[in-house]
Amino acid sequence: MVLFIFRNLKVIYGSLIIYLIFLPALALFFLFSLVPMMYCFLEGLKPTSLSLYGYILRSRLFRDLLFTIGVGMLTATLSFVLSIPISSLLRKNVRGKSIIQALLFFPLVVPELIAGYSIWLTLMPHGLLYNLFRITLNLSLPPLPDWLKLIVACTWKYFPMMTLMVAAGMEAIDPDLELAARSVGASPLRTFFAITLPLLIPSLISGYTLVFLRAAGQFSITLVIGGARLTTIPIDIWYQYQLANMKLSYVLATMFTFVMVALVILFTRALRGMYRG
Amino acid sequence: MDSPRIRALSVCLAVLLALFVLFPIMILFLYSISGRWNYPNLLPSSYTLGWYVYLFKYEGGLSSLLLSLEVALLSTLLSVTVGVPVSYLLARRGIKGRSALEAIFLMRLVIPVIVIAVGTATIFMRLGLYDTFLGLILAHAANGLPYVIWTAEAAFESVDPVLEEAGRSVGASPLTTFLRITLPLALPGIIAGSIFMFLYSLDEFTVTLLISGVKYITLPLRLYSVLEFGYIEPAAATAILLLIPSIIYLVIVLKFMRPEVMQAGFGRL
Repeated sequence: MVLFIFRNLKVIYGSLIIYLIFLPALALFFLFSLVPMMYCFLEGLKPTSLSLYGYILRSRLFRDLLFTIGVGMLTATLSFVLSIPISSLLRKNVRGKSIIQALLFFPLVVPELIAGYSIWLTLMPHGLLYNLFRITLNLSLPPLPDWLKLIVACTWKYFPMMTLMVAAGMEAIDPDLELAARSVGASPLRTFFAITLPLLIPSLISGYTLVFLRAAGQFSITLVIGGARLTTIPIDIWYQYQLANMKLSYVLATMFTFVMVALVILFTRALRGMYRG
Repeated sequence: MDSPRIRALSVCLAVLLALFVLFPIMILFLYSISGRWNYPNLLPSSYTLGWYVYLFKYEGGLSSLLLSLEVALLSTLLSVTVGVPVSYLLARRGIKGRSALEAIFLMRLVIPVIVIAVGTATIFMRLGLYDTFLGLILAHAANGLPYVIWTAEAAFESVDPVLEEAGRSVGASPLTTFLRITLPLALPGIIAGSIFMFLYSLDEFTVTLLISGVKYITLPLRLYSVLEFGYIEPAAATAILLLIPSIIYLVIVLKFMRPEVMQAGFGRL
């Protein structure tokens, strides 16, 4: 035994060093990122807080949950619709390709808070955009409701994630497939729906998941656009926490996370089903 | 060959995209430099840099800017020192940490930021880290660590192991090989990851909002408190101030970085 340890001392010593290198990173991440995440769930799943789930389902918080999911889905769908023409543009070797790519990367580096604020400023009644419509087209647009502003802002911030995914997916499609469809007399539209779109499903799955999670789970854009009036679930979690209703905020956080995971699994399944069918 | 109609359509599309992406930020910029801007006028009738001065003089903008830079610098230093060795081991030694790392990334993607923020605030209250400088640094470093590890791992992986073996075969020690061959080759990626971490810390809002009270107000928190009062022009000036580093980063990345490194950072933004 002792001999075995002695012989393998170098190996043991080596792996010990490896663990020592890992230790600070693990400690930092576990203590200040993972434990806080888990803490919410542990509190939210305690037997004493289970009655609050029933309360949430019966109160206006349930409506907020549906609203939040709606915001996420609308943003993801809108991003996908926007992504199709942009990525087909990127697929062709047009001259300004790098400029278009730079434009796509731009919203990604803009902080959410600023994205929300600049969209709020843009869509402000009596702001420059409304004024522009009034002066040039003599058109006075009605003020947009807050939820629509929220969706515009989320789409502005997150559509590039979808577009980059869809563009990568389109890059991988063999153009001969589409040409073959065109050569047997299919219209461009029919070719798109019968050939291109089904081949894009895998990138649609990852893009939809990513954008949905971001848009439904984001906090700062909603806070800037609607204050505490535009109640999505992240705002509710924050608001209840501010009111020192800790339990309710942990339960909301737990429930919300589980609903999001369930929905992502559902989307993936549904879209895969479309791919096969 | 495209028909002229398709070409015209493409140009239209590109212009629309540019308008959609750039128009809101242009408006933000216009507000930050507008002097007088009365309603019926389309554009401001005079321009001024006074809002930036106002921000620094009366709204505590300077102290917030300095605090934000300090926190970003220190948390980046912490997470890079702690994270880069780990990413080297993950890339080279075939340690079974890759799938765990991916799982953690996936978890961070699924769990909303506000959940992390509420949990962090609760824990920090118990540990006595609430509204402290140390608390800010630790929270930022811990939450940004996966980004650093991810980009650095991609950078180390792009270094050909054959080059390291060549170094070893002519008698260099593992440490020399690492310092003279591997590290210089992986450095661009590591720098990209570090800048990315720096920006994450600079822009971090949600967690910071919940773990800091009155003493430590970073620039994003200042922006929020100014815009909450409805001061549009100073808020726009703060936003532009916060935006400058992000734009510099974008330019650097688009000019100098390889696409793989870029994807590693942007895909997980």
